[in-house]
Amino acid sequence: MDGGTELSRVIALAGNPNCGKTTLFNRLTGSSQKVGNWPGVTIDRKEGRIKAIGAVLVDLPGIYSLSPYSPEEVVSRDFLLDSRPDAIINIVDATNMERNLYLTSQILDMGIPTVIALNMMDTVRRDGTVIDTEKLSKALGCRVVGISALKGEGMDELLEAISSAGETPKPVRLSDPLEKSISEISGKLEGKVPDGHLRWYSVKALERDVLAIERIGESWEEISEIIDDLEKAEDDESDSLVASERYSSISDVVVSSVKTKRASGGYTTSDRIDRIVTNRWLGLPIFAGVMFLVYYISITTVGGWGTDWVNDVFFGEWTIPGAAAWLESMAVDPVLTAFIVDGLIAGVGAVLGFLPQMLVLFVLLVILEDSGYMARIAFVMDRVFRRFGLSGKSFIPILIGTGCGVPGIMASRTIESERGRRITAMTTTFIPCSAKLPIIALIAGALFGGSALVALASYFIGVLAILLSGIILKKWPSLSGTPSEFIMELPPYHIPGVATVIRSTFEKGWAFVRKAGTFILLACGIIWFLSAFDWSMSMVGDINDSMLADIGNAITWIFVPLGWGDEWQFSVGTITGLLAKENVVGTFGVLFGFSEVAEAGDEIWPIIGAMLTPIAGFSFLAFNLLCAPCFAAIGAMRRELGTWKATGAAVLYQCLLAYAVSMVIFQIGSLLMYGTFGIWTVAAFATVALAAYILVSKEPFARARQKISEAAA
Amino acid sequence: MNFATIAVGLAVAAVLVFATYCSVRSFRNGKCSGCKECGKCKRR
Ligand SMILES: Nc1nc2c(ncn2[C@@H]2O[C@H](COP(=O)(O)OP(=O)(O)OP(=O)(O)O)[C@@H](O)[C@H]2O)c(=O)[nH]1
Ligand SMILES: [Mg+2]
Repeated sequence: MDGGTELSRVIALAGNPNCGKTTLFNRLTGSSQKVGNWPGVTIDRKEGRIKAIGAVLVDLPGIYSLSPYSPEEVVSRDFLLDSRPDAIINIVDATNMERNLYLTSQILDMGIPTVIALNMMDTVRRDGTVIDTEKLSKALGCRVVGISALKGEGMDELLEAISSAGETPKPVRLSDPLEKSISEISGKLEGKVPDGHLRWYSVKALERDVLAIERIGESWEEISEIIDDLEKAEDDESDSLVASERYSSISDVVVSSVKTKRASGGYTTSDRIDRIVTNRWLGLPIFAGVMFLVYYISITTVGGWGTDWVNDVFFGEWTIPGAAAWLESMAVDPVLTAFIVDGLIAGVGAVLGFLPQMLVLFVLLVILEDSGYMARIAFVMDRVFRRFGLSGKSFIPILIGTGCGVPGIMASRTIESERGRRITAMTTTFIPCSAKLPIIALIAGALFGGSALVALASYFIGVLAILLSGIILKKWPSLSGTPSEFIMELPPYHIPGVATVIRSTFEKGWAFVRKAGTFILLACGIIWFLSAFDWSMSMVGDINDSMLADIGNAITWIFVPLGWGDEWQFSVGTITGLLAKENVVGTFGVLFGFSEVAEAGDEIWPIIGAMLTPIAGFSFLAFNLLCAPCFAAIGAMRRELGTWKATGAAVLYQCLLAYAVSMVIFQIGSLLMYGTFGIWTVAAFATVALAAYILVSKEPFARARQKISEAAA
Repeated sequence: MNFATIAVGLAVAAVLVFATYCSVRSFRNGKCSGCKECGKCKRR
């Protein structure tokens, strides 16, 4: 933190998952952090400034209680305990008071000035529920402000409440026997824990909370006796005693201050929709249908028209010929002109051409995420994933991974089991991220008439790769075990906020443009240079004499069995894609002469299409989707997996899998379609057999297991 | 080499330097790809 922020008050946002913390954070600080209608969107703390009152606001991952289960929940608790914010805004989802106030009762124990923001008041009002905030405030002993983070209601009052919050709240009282034990424990702990947290530590110690015990250290013995006495007297475990007392005092509070209109028990609209979309048989087909529609709109129709226009008119007719003519008219050196037009503009233009398709896709995905539909898919997927040794929790990282692999990999933190977390971190990037979308759209447009099925198939291959990897990796000694239980609340559906959709789409679109204008621009410049000169630094007339052609030819034989190794350009594209996947398309723009093609009035992608059979094109696509992700994602994998050795192994696994899948696609596909047969066809069948053996056999890695135990001995 | 070449050359060089600066900056902080979804870029 810099000097300026040190002086300002730090305010933490704490609350249950999916109660609207990030929505409020974005509203108060003007940030645009990710919001989604499912629990577990935020996985790390974020800071922002509330200009109006000159304070720092910290957004935290949602938590159900202050006894965390997964790493991202630990982030929240540790922040509240160790950084001791000056005040807490405890967001409470007013449509779900009991459960939310359970956390509140624990927060109040911490002795930090707290303001309760009763969120979703818009929905509460629509349902005809009336909440008496005055009464609630009296009962809980701290300010309660009704707000709607989505609509921006109650913001002024909330800000006023935070700026004047300074009093230590009074904790929710439990029954006398419990309070007596708590004060005994407090006596033992006095001076050993920070003063303000005394009550909190005492209650947590009473619950035998692991982390509290750790922090308390040696005085645990005596405290344990106090708890034993209480448990004997009350004939129940101390933690369930505390929990049930908390719930009963909360429900007293709720009963006295909340008046619901509708009699509970009936089916809500959400329930009715859920009966269909999470149906055992219909769930998956409906999901496939929805995704097909999404790609049909974004790739084939609306987005596709936009892309055609940008490629053919904006770059093809205006930018490229215009820039070339302008530079020529000023008699700029032809080499420099070529660098700008054939290198920078052609490369970046090829990438930006896909922007319209991406924008439309972003809009549709944000709508699906924010409406609550995607949370249902995690639930539907859980049934499938479970058979493959993964849990539905693994779907959330995958879902986020469709935007960008880096946060997708980071989201694997929400998975409780260590092995599930590692397997998910290793396989999340199989799902096509938005940077891979241009490759998909390119192959779809060039070889398959822009069919949305290509995109759907790409995602299908991604999910399949993840599932197969679930089985394969599970058999690897260090990753075996059963998937953890999958419990996730299904939030009610709601109509996505227009502001959320626009903001999120704009953010993602802008990030794409920025990357194209910086990193991809540089890469295209270098690619052009390598493709325009030979080793003696003289310009080449034929690109096949260039340095890049030599480099490409040195590696391209590797990819011959995959069907696209005969032209070195495809291999070069694959390699530059390791820096950033957008580079694949940018490299093609430079190497296949987007600028010349455009000046001749032709379209570039059909030319590429003519160089490959559809099967080879699909094999190229599959390889680029599955092989090692970009450096940024590899770095994220390193952070989640912990060591470079494990990361290296994961990348190797990804490349081998990509190679095997692409070879099988090309060889067996060619055999079926064109009747070609050769040594590699045999290899492809052998690969299928090997894969089948690994999938079916109980201990395919028995040897490896032996080696590991030998090494350990 | 004429004046236009030098001027355009300098402009392109400036753009490339700026692009390098931006790329390095976003990659240095935790190998970020600049997607903004995780909020690291905003945290500074
Ligand atoms: N109707 C209504 N919906 C809201 C309101 N505030 C937030 N939401 C919606 O609630 C959902 C969850 O919002 P987030 O801000 O992502 O919730 P969060 O608390 O940050 O969730 P996690 O990061 O997962 O803990 C989104 O779909 C929001 O659009 C509100 O005041 N009214
Ligand atoms: Mg959040």
